[in-house]
Amino acid sequence: MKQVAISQESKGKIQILNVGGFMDMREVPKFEQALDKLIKAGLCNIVLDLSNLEYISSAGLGAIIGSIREVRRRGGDIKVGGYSAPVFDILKTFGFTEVFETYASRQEALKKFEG
Amino acid sequence: MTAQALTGELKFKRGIGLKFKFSFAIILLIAGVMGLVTEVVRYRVKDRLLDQMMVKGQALTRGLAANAAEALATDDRARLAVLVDQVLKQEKGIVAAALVDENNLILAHTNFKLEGQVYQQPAQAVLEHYASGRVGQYRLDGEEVLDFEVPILVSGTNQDVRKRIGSAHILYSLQPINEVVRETLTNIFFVAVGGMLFGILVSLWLVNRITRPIRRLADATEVIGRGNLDLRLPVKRRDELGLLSAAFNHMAANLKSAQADLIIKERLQNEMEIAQRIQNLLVPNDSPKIQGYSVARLYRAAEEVSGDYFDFIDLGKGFWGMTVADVSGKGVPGALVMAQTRSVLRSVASQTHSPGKVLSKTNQLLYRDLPENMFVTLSYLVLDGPKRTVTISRAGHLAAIIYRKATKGCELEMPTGIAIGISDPDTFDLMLTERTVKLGPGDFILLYTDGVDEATNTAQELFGSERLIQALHEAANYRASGIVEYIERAVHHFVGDAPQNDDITMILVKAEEGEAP
Repeated sequence: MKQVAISQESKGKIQILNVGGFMDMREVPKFEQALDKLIKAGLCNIVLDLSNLEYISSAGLGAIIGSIREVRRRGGDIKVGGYSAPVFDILKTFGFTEVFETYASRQEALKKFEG
Repeated sequence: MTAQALTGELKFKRGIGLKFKFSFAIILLIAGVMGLVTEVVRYRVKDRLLDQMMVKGQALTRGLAANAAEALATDDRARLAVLVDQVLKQEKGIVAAALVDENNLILAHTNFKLEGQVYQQPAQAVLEHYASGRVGQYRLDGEEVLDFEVPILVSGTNQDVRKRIGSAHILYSLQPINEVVRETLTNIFFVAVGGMLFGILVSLWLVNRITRPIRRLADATEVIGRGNLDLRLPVKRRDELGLLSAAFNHMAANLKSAQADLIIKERLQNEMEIAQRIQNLLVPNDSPKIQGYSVARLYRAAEEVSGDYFDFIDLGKGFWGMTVADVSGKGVPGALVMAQTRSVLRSVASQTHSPGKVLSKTNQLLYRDLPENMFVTLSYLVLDGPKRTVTISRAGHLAAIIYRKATKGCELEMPTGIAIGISDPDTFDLMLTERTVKLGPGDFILLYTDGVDEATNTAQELFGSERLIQALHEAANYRASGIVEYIERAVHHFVGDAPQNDDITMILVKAEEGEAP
C-alpha cells in the first residue's frame, strides 16, 4: 500500500511541509493533521513542497482549501513550492492554480513570503 | 425496560458451595487421621499394659507357689488361707487367688466358699505356656480375667523327677487395662472433635477469603454483562486471585475499546447507508430519449466513498442540460452538498442555455455555503439537439472527451474553470470559459469522473486516460449504451480483484447517423 510521507522544516517564520508519496482518500487524514498542527500552533506561513508527491485526491485538495482559508484569516498563506508533473495536472484541472500561488521550486515560494 | 431484561437473567443453579466442600474434606481428613491414631494407640497401649501384667502375674504366682509348697506338703490349710489372702492385698488388679491340690481340688481360695470344690477353668482358656506355668484368659462372672497358674512341685524319690502336688492360681482382672485404653480413646476422641471444629473454622475462614473475591468477580462479571464496561476491580492480592482480577480489568478495558470501535464502525456504516440513500434519490434512473441521439449513463457507487452525481435536465425545445459532478467529501456531509448543488444547478439551468452563466451563478450561490474543506468539481454541457451543437463549461472537473468519427480521433475539451466553492465569484468568473463544438454523425461526447481514469488495480497502477481513449476507439461504432458498457468492462478487467475505491460515473451522448431531428 502506497502511503504519504510528511516531514517538516522551518525557515525563520515560514514552515515547509515536505509531502511525498501517494495521497488517496485513506491517507488524507495524515496530511490534514499535519496542517492542523501548524495552524493550531499559530504557524500560518506555510510552503507545501509537493515535488515528491505522485498523486493527490480531491479530499487532499479539500484539506488544502480548508486550511488556506483559515491561515488567510490569520494573516498567513499557504503557497505551493515545488510539484511533480501529475500533481500539477491535477491542480490545474481543479483550477487550484488560480486559488493559491504555485511555484516550481521551494526557493521561489520562500522568496515570495519574504519579500 | 431494564438492561437485565434485554440480556436475560443469569442462568445458574447453585449446588453445594465451596465452604461445605472444604469443611467436609477437612472433617474427612481429620477423622481419617484420628481413626488411624486410635487404632495404633489402642493396640500399643493395650499390648504394653498386658505385657506388664503378664510379667507381674507370673512373678507373683511363682512367689505364691514357692511360699505355698511347704504348707501344701504338710496340708497346713490355715497357712494356705493366709497366703492367698496376702496375695489379694498385693495389687489392685488381682481379683482372686487360689491354691489347689494335685487333683485340682481347691484347698484355699480368697473366696473361701469355693474351698473343697474342683477348680473351674474353661477348657480352651489357655492363652500361653511359659517356663514355670501357664496363663489362661476367660470370662468369670462377666468379668474378663487372666488366670496365672504355677504348678507346685516337690522332689520325689527319684532325684530327677519332680512331682506336682498342687498349683497356685492368681486371677487378674483386665478391667483396669480396658479402662485405661477407654480413657485414652476418649481423650483422643475429644482432641479429634476439637481438631475438626478448629479445622472447620479454619476452612470457613480460608474459603471466605477465597470466595469473597470470587463472588465479587462474579458480581462484576454480571455488571459487565449488563453493559457497564467502566467497572474495575481493585487488584490488592498478589496471588492467583489477584491475577484473575487484573485479567478481569484487562478484559473489561478491551471489551470497552472493542465496543467503542464497533459503535464508531456502525455509526460510519449507518452514515454511509444514509448518504447512499440520499445519493440514489438524487441521480436519474434512466437516460433520456432524445431524437437523433443515443444517450447512456453509468453510475457505480464505491462502497465507502460517495461523492459523484450526474443529471439530465430537459430545457425544452430540444435543449438538454447534462452534468457530471464530484463532491470532495464523503458520507452525509458529502451527500448534503450534492443535494444542495443539484437543486441550485437545476434551478439556475432552467434560466439560461449558457453553461458558463449556469456555473457562475451556481458558484455564487454555493461559495459561502459549502463547508470550508469541501468543493464540487463539475462539467456542465448544453446540447442543442436540432443544431447538433454542444456548449460546455468546466468547474475544475476533468476534460470532456469528444470522439470524431470522420477522423477516428479523440479531442479533449478542457475550457478553463475553477472548482465550485473554493474561490470568490470574481476569480471564478474570470477563469470560467465556454466552448461550443459541433457533433457530426457518429460523433460522441463523454463526461466522466476520476473514478474512471483513477481506477486502481492490485499493483496500484491507474487505469489512466490513455486506456480510456483506447477503449473509446475500440467501441466507437456501438450505440451510447454499448460504448459505456465496453468502458465499464475494460475498467473492470483492468482493476481485477482490487477494491473499487471511488465512484465511477459516466454520461455519453452520441449523435446517431442520419439527419438531425
